Amino acid sequence: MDEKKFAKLNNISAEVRKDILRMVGIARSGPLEKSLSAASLLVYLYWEEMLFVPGEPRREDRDRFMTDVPEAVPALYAVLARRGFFEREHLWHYRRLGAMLQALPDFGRIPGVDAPCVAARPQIAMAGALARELFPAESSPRVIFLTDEKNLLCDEFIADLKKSSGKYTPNLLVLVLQNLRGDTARIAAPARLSSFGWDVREAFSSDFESLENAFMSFNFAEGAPKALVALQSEDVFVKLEHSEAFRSLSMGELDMALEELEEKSNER
Amino acid sequence: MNADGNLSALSAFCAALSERAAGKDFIFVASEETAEKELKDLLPFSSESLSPSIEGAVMSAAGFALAGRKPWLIGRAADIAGRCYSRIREAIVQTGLPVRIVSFDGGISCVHEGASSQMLEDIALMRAMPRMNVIVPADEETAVRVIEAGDEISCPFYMRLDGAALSQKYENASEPFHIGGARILRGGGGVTICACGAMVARALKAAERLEMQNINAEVIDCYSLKPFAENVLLSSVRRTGCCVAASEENAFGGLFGAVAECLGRTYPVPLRSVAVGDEFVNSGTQEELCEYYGLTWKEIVDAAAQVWALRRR
Repeated sequence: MDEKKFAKLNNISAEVRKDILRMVGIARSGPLEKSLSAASLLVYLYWEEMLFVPGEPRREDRDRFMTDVPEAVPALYAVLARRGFFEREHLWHYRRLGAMLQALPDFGRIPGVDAPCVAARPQIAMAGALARELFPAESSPRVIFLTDEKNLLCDEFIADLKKSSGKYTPNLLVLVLQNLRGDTARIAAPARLSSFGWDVREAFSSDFESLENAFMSFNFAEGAPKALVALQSEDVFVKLEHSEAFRSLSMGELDMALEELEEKSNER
Repeated sequence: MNADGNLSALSAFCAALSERAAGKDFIFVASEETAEKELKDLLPFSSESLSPSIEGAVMSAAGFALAGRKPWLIGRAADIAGRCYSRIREAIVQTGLPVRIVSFDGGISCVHEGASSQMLEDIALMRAMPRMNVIVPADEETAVRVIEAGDEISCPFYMRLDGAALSQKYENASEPFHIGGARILRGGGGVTICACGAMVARALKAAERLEMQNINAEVIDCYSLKPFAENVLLSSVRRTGCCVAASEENAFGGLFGAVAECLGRTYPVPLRSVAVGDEFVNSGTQEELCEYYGLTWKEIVDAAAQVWALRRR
């Protein structure tokens, strides 16, 4: 990856992370950690990998993105806004009564949102069915489904993975966010996915070069469904006290976190 | 599957579906178990689900609908309305995806299986879900019309097949089906009897008995529980001044709920319910269960006689 592209993606990721902090901070409610760590991955997808036209969000031949990780929804909103699907102004009304950006995306109302994000997991069968329907199309749009490693501990998810591998869906890509900290770090996600017949790669979610290499090695026109285990490194997180999946930020904390992000993006 | 009536309801529906689906843009999903047991000999198509479970079948249906298809999701009432409620709510109904949901073994059809399989509150659950449409056909003709209208309907709906409902044939079947409609199967000015599904046949029998007592009953087949045909009901009770609601379900939130909500808000009249009370049901034969839980034509006659005596004049 050339330096210019790397710098551009890095810069966009930093701005997206700041937007995530601002929107969650202003709303005083919402998930932070997973959104911040998924930001680079989504930036790479929406700037380098996926095919779509922001002005035509319902185009038939666009690639589709869906997720069953509610904690990553602020990152998706921030990315869609910066990519031009809607005004960034909407971000500052996140989770407000009547606002377009609700806690979970209101499919059909938000430009760029291709599918509902359902709190009742897993959602992979929905992604598989969509991929299967889209595959015979001339353009064969891809379906990119973001999930996290906790799903690999769910029997239903595993059963759906096995069943999906039996259907011909080479245009299906499952992105598994794997946190390198905590209990779930011990899940051998790539080996587990490979054992079900999936075509699996591994990359760091904030390392654009490794993401690019992984994506370039996939052949979405044929073969097994694809999976990319995106390892989440710690250096993109803002160090917040009592870090929890869902919490509200005080204005002081928001300021400090924005400063910290600024410093980090300058370092990179 | 154990009740003859229920077998015929599902068989009749599948036969109608197979006949009308040939050469059309048809797709159906079910759990692996349902597809391999109940539906194997009934539908000449295989389930397209990308999951072995019924929960995954719901998600698959949503995925196919996202791609522009209008899939049929078929399963037991207890599985669909019970296990899959939150998924149907979030993945299908909140998003307005055009998935046609068909449940069988509703009411007391699944007679020997006991309370866990006998879902009496499915209609109430689905009625309470915002933007969900609920249909309970009483005969094959209505089921066929739902299938035929299915391609034109662009919203999700839940259809319950219960008991021996689809084995019946009624006059006035030529009346056009539409979501939010109802059929008057027998005219009368003495008492209004609203019924749905398997209870329609019992309501007609009760009307014959009431006629012997000089009470002329009007029987309405309320096949659309939501949206509810309020105008048909109101037009009837304005003449009769009293009403009975009969359905093979729990008395709370289903047909009785729909009738009471409408009348309480608009034109209060004496009203009685013929349904199962606030309890879970036992296993037994269908006849035993109908007798025990008061779901026969006799209870409809009793209820009708009571409200007729109290009728609004």
